[in-house]
Amino acid sequence: MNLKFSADEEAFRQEIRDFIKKEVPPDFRGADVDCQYEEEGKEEIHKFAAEMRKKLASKGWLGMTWPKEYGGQEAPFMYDFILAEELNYHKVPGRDLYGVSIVGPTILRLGTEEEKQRYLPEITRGEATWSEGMSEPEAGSDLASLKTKAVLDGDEWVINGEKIWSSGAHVTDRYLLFVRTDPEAPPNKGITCLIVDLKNTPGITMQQIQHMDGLFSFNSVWFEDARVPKDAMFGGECNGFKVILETLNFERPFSGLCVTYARRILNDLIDYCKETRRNGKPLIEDSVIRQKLADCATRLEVGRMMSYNVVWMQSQGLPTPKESNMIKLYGIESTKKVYDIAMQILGPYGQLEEGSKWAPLRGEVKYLYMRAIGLMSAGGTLEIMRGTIAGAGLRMPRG
Amino acid sequence: MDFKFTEEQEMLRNFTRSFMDDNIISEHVREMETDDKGYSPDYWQQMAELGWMGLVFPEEYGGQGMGFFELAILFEEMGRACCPGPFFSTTLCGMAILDAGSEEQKKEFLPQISEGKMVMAPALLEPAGTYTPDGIALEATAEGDDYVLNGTKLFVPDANSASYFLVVGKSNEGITTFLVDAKSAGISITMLSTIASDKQAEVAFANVKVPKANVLGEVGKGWEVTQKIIQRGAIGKCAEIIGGAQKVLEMTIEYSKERVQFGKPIGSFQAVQHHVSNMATDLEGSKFVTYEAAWLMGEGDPCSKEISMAKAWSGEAYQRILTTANQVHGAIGFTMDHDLQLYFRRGKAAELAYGDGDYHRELIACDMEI
Repeated sequence: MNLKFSADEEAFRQEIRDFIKKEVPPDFRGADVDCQYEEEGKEEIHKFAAEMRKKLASKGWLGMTWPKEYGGQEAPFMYDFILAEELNYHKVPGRDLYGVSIVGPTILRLGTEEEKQRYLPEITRGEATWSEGMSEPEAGSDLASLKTKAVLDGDEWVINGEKIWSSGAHVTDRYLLFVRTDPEAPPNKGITCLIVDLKNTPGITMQQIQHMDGLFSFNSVWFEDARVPKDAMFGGECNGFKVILETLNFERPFSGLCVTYARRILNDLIDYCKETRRNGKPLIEDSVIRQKLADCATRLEVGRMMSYNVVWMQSQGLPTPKESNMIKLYGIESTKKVYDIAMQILGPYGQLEEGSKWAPLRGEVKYLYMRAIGLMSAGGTLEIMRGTIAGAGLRMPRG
Repeated sequence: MDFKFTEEQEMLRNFTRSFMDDNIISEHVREMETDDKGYSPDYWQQMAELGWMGLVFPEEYGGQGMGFFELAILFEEMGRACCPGPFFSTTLCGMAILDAGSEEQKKEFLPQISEGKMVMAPALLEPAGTYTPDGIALEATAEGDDYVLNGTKLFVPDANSASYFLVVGKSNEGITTFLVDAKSAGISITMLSTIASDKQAEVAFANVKVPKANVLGEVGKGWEVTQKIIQRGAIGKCAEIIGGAQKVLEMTIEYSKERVQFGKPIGSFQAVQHHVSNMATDLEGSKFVTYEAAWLMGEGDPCSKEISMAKAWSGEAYQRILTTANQVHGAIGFTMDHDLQLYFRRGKAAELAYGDGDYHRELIACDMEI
């Protein structure tokens, strides 16, 4: 047992902080890292994110855990997590979570040599970003019932159907799409994964969907006789459900990062409570406020340690059927709770939009309070997490 | 970072688990609740021979030279078994002597503790009921070669079996800690009936003489000694809590597989599965925040914030776990026949001991310079 970062890990963290200090202008307002490409209408953030991606790539920090032959550094898994933590904490966009943390590792695990050569180096160079096409209007938690279909016609797959909740699909380059290729097989045995070039495939239309927080966070994506080459198939025919599970497995540990982001907000909120007077004294001297802030800090520390454990387990190649779903469940619930408490502390000011001279912390808490509701369903609802913990994790009887 | 237990730590856990499984069974735990002594001297001696009493003492004092993290493993396994007895109290006092005691005091007390010949109890709380310096009112007046103690200590654990008390009092110089022979004239002990059926007592001091040589640490600097006892006590209770919570989770999963309603095991119903997943997640969080604090303490690194976070979180998380466990068990869970009540009652005692959530959150706020 050693629950401290090694000197090398600490040095790497410092190197990232120095990098951020150097490359990020002091007046940069920050972006919600996970959603950097969703900030429709905020062109300067998109531009900045793209620049940062190039700079991160030139440091060798994108896909840094991958083998050198695919552009990686063969760094330990914890390094990638430290990088993600620091970028999250400092609200710096540019590290494409889907590409680097989810799709890349899935390709490494399940891809052919040709696929690895083709898709991984372009991620490490910061040249390609990714999104996913999983959910459909009629296939949410019951993902295996998805209906979008693909039929092989000569050397091409012909795709027809509709995907929904594809985050960032309107700005990303590549798309991990899940389609039904064998309608006769049981639902989870007839799904195939296709890699789709979103920028250059005719027959694809999209419409952005607006989150109540104001952002156009995700998309409906329609396929009408969209054609992709035969070799776009990934992971083998009718093996798509395995690919889905693999991507979810890689996605889970990074769910803990919402805790890191919330820690930054909490620190901003503590500063606010020091500077703000209510009832004739600074808010920070009110014991109720102190209890709430300490409670938030505790919740986030618990999540931090749970995350590190999952990252460590995965770095050791240990299966994490319980732990990775727990960190997702816990991370999102605790983050949600922190934003609830933050809204309470801000009182009537919490409801104000960014732009008002009265809005504390630039209205960010209000935005995160609404955004957190989305996290409760993103990538699997909290109920699906609980069901997976019970079934795969605790081996409770099947219903 | 490395979350893997060392081979030595694994062995210690496995061995402790099997000792508890073999000896500290439900019947024994129940029997000890109404026993005057509250524990078995025979098992106590066996534990001493296994080196547990002196686990964290250096070898020169008859100890094993292990660290606080290893001790936390013992606490965890004892919590899992609801192990009765004054182990917790005695080791807390022993560590305080190791920290603050003179060489003479260490030589006198630590080998006796290691050999299982001395039981000690920390007498910290008073009728004020707070773990803060202003809760200490017991008067210590210097008189010749002695201090004379007058006052009342409350919620003193294991007072009935202790041969020495570690008493926190107030002298002219400020808060001071004393090692007080339990047989001293003027001490009277009144046992308290408690939720966990443990052995807490009111200990009254009426003109009790304590030789000046029995001051522990420096006169007037007793709060530093006391604070460390509270910190170790808090993290020790967290370890007991995660041990207990693990067992409660296992009991609940087992019951949900066996209990059939509507023609199916209730563990197959989503409502029950979600309850159990919440319990498991609460345990997971408590476990790692506890390990963090215990490990930092073992390394001698600053950890007051982490300890308070662990205690505030685990104490309250355990309440949720226990309540949910009861809900899954239905009526049988809250009967005396079932073992769940043993954990339920101890869980509340553990939440209160060495500071509850409100107390520790205020400490966290101070630590974060809030």
